[in-house]
Amino acid sequence: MKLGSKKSSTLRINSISPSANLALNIFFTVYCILCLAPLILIFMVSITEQTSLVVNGYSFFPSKISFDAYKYLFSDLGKLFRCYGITIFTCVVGTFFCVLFTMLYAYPISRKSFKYRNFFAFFIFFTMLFQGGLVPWYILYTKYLRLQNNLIALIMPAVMNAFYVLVTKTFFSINIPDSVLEAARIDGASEFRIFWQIVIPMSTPVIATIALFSCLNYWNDWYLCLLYINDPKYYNLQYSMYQALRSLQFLTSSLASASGNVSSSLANVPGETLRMAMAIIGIGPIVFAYPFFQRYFIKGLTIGAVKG
Amino acid sequence: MPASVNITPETNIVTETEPNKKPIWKRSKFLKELSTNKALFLMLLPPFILVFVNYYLPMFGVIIAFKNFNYVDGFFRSPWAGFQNFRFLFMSDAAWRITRNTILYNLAFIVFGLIFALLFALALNELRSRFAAKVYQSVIFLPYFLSWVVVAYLVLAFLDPNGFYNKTLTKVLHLPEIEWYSSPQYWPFILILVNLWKNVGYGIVIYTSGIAGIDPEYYEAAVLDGASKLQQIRYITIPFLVPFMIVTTIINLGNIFRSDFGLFYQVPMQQGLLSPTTEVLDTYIYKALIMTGDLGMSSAAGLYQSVVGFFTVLLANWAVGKISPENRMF
Amino acid sequence: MLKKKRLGIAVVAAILSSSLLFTGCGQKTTPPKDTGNSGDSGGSGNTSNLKPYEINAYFLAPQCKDLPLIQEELNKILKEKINATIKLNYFWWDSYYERQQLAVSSGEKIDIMFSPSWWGFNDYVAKQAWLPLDDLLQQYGQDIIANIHPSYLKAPVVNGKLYAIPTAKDMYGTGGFIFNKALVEKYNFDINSITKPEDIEPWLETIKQNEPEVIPFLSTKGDQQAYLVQDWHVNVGDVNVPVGYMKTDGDVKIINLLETEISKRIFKLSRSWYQKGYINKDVATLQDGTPIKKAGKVFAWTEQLKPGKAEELTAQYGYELVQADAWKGIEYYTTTPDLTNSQLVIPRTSEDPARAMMFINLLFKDKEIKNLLSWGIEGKHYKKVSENQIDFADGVNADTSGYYGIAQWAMGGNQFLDYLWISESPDKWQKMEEFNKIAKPMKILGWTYDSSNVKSEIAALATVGQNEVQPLSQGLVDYDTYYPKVKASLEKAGIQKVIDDCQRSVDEFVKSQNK
Repeated sequence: MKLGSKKSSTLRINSISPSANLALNIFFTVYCILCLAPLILIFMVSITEQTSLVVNGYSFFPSKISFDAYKYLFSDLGKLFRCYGITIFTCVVGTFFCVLFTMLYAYPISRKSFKYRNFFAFFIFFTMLFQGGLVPWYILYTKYLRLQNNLIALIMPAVMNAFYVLVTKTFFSINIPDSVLEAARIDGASEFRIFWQIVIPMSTPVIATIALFSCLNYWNDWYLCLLYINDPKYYNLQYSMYQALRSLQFLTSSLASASGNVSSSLANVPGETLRMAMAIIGIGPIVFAYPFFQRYFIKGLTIGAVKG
Repeated sequence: MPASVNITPETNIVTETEPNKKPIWKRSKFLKELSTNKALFLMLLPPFILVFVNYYLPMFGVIIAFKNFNYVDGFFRSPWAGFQNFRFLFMSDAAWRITRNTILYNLAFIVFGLIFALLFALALNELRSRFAAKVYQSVIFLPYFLSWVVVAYLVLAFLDPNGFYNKTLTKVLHLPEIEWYSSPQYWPFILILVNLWKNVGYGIVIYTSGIAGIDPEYYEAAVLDGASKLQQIRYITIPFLVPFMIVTTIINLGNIFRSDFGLFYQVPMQQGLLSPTTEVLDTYIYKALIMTGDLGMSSAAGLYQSVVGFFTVLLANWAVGKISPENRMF
Repeated sequence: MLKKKRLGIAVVAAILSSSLLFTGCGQKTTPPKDTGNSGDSGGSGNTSNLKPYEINAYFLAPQCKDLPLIQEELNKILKEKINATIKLNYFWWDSYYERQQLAVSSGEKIDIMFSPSWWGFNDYVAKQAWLPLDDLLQQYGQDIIANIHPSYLKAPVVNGKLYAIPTAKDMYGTGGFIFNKALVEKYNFDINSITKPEDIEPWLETIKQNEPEVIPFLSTKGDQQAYLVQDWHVNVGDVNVPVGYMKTDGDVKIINLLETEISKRIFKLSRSWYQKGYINKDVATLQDGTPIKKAGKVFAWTEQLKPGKAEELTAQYGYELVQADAWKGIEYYTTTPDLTNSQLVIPRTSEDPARAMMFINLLFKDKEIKNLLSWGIEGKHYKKVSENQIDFADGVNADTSGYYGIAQWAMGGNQFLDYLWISESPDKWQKMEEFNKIAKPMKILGWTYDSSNVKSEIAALATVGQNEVQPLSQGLVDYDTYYPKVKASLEKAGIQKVIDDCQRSVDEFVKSQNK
C-alpha cells in the first residue's frame, strides 16, 4: 500500500504559478473579509450601549461601549456552565455514535458484492423524503419510549442521517478500491477486521467531515430541547438563548397582539445588544473546535509528489 | 418475493417454476446472502433498528393528512376526509407563483451552490501555502454558524433606509437610494447571494474531503505524463468528485419543494410587498396554519412536498442511470 | 433491477403497515366525562371522602427558579382544602403553543390548561379536546359564579355548552394613544381633548418641526391599524382573516372588514402620516419597537388601553407616559374575543375533572393561593408595603428574584384578588370595576364561529392577510390603487364563502336565542 507516503520534491513542480497563486490569495482574502466583517459587526453591536444603538444604528465604531449584555448573560454563571456542559455532552456522545453508526451502515451498502445494497440504500434514503410528522414522532418518544426530560431524547433523533450515510457511502465506493479489500479477504481477514484496520484508517477525511457536520448539528439544536426537555437543568445552550429570541418573534406577530396583553411582556424581552451577545456566545467554542476537524479533511503536503 | 418463487398457502412449501431440488435454506437468495455476508448484516443491524424506530415507526402519522382529526377518535377512528386537507395549498391565486418561486430558488441553490463550492474547493487545493488554505477555509465556513435571525439583522443593517447602503454607499459610489424592502425585483438576487454566502462553506468541506481522499499516485502519474494543472483537474480531480456532486444534487432534488424556512421568512423581514418573489411553499404553509394549527392540513402539506420530491428523485436517479450507471443512488 | 425495486417497495410497505399496527393502541382516548366522578355528593370543600389526586396544570408563564417552592407551598394549602397536590408546568411564549398541541395530541393526562380564544381554543373545542363544564361549574364552582361578571360565563359557550372559565379582569380594551409625558407638557398638548385620531395631527407636526431626534409616531409594522379600529369592529376568528362584524346593538352583519368606512379611514390616515413623515421610515421592517420606546425617542404610539395601562408601561420603560383614548363619545361593547382572551379549560384526558374545577374555584376566592401563583412567596419574593400593595422582598430585584415576570392576567381566576405592585395606583381595581361597567355586552355574546366547514379557505385567507394587507396598514401604499388587487386575492381565496358560512351561523344563533 502506497498511501500516505510523503514526498515533497515535486511539490514545487506541480504547483500553480506564483502569479496565479497571488491572484487566488487576493481573491480569498477579499472574500474572507466579507465573511469576517459581519461577525466583527455582530461583536461590535454586542458591546454597544443599548440606547446609543437605537439612536445611531449598527456601527463598527460604537459611540458608547457597554458590556451590559455580557454581564447579564454571565450573571447566572451556574446556569451558563450547565448549559455549556449539556451541549458539550450531547455533542460528544452524539457525534461519536453518529459517526460510528453512519460508517457501520455506509460500508455494507458501498460494497458492490452485497446483493441487498440497493434495498438498504433506498431504505435510508426514503427517510429523507417522507416523514410521518411531528405529532406521531412526539408520541413515540414520550409515550412509548418514555424519553421525556431524558438526554437520550436530545441525541437519538439526530444520530442517523441519510445525507451523512450517502456521502460516506460515496466516499467508500470511490476511495476504497475493491482490490485492496479482496486482497485482505484472500489473506483471511474477517469483514470486521477489514473494516477496523483498513477501511477506517483510509477514511479519515470523511470521518472528519461527518464528525464536523454532526457536531455542528448537535451544537446548534434547540428544537429537540423545546420538545422534550421540561427541566431547566437539562437545557442546552442554544435553547436557553433562543427562549428569549423566539418569545420576541412570537410577541411581535399579529397572533399575539390579538390578546391585547402583549406590551407588558414585550418590555421584558432583551434588546438587540443582548441578542448579538447571545450569537457570539453561541458560536464561540465551536469556532475554536473547527481547526481540530479541519486537519483531517484538508489535503496536506502530499499533492502530486513523486518518489524522490 | 422474486417472481420465480411462490408459496402454496396450505402447505407453505416453496416451489419454483423452474424445477430445483435443493432445500429452501439453500435456495432462498436472502438467506444465502445472509450467511455469506453475515458480518455485513451485523454491521447494519444497530443503525437499521435506529432508523426504523426513529423514522419509520412514526410514519403512520401520514394518515392524518386524509382525515378530519378530532381528539375523541384519535388517529384511527377519526373520519376520513379524502383530499380536503390539501385544498388550501391550491386555493390562493398565488399558488402558481409560490410553486414557481420554490422550484426556481432550489434549482438556483443547487446549481450555484455546486459550482461555487467546487470552484472554491479546487482553488483552495491549489494554494501553495497550506496554512493559508486552512485559514481561508475556516473563515469561509464562519457564516454557516450564524442563525437566520442574526443574518436578517445584518442584511437589515445593510439595506435599511438608515442602513449602510442608503446612508453611506450611495454617497461614496453615487448610487441611487433604493427602498429595498418595498422592491420585490431585487430579492431573488439578494436571497441567492445571502444563501450562498452562508452555506458555501458546507459544500466546500465535502469537496475538499473528497479531494483529500484521492490517491496522490494518480497525480504523480499525470505529472510524469506531462499533464498540465488544468488537465489534472479535468481528468483526475473532477471525475473523483462527480459521485459526490451527484449524491448531493439528487438529495437536494428530493427536497425540491422544501425550503430553508429561516432564509425566506426572516431575511425579507416578513414583508408583504416582497412576497411575489420571496414567498415559497414552506412560508405559505406556515402563514396559513399558524393560527389554526390544524394537524391534518399541516400533514397534508408535508405529504405533498414529499411526494413531489420523491418523483423528482426517481426521475433524476433514472437519468443518472442512463448516463453513468455506477453512480445511481439505488 | 426493477424486480429488486419492487421488492424494496414491497418491504417498505410492509414495514409501514406494521408501524400502523404497532401504534394501533396509540390513541387511546378516554370516553367523554361530563360530570365529576370522585364520588362525593356535591358541595366543594368536603375533603373527608376525597381521594388524594395530583392535578397536572399547564400555564403560560416563564420558567422560574423557585417554581418548586411555589408548588410546595401550594400543595400544603391544597391538601388541606381539597386533598390534592398540583404539578405546575410553565411554558412561555416561545414554546407554549407547540407544547400544548403536542401534549394534547399525545393524550397526556392534563387537568387544567390555559387556552385563550386567540390561540386555538375554538379549534380544540371543535375537535373535542376540552370538556364541557356546565355541570361541573354548578356543582363545584359556586365561588366562580359569585365572583365573576355573568357575561364572562356566556362567552366561551359553543353549541350551547360552556367550555372554559375565563379570568375575571378588564372586560374590554379601548384603542388609544400612549404619549411621552415630558413632551406633552413641554408643548402643552391637551390630551383630554382628543375625540378622534386625526386630532393629534397638529401635535405630530409640532414634534416633527421642533424635535428632530424624536419620532412623532411610532408604528411597529403597522400595528396602529388594529388598535384604532378595534373599538368599531370585531374579527370572527383568525386575526389575519379580515372577516368580522361592526360592533352594534342591532343585527349583526358579517362583512369584509377591509371595506368598512372606518378601515378605509384609518388606512388613509396611516398613508397620509407616512407621507408627511410622522411615521418612522422603517415601519415595514421594525419588528420590535421596545428598544426605541425604552430609549424615549418616541412621542406617541398606539396601544390597547385599560385603566392603569400607562402606569404599567411607565414602570417598564422607565420614564413617564400618559394615555388617552383615540375615540370619544362612542359606545363600548364587550365581545366574545374580549371575554375569552384569558381562560382555563379542563381537557378530556383529565382523570378527575371535579378536582380540577375545585382548584379553579379556589382561584376565585382564595387570596393566598391566587397571590402565590401571581407573585410568589411573601417574604421571599415580595413584601407588603400596605394592605394591598407589594414591592420586591428585601435584597431581591428583577434579576435575582426566583419567581418573577409572571403574566398575572394569564394565571386564571379572579384578578381582583391580586396584590398591586407598588408603582400601580392603589385604586386600580376600583377603577377597573367602573371601567367594566361602562361597556355593554354584544347581543351575540355566546356565539363563537366554528369554521371547520371552511378551514381551507381560512388558511388561504390567512396568508393573503399576512402578505397583502400589511402594506396598507403601514401606510406604504395608496388604498384606492392597491386595494382592488387585494380584493381579487381575497375573492380567489374564498372570502365570500366564509362570509356566507359565518352569517348563516350567526343567524342560527340569533334564532335560537329568540325562541
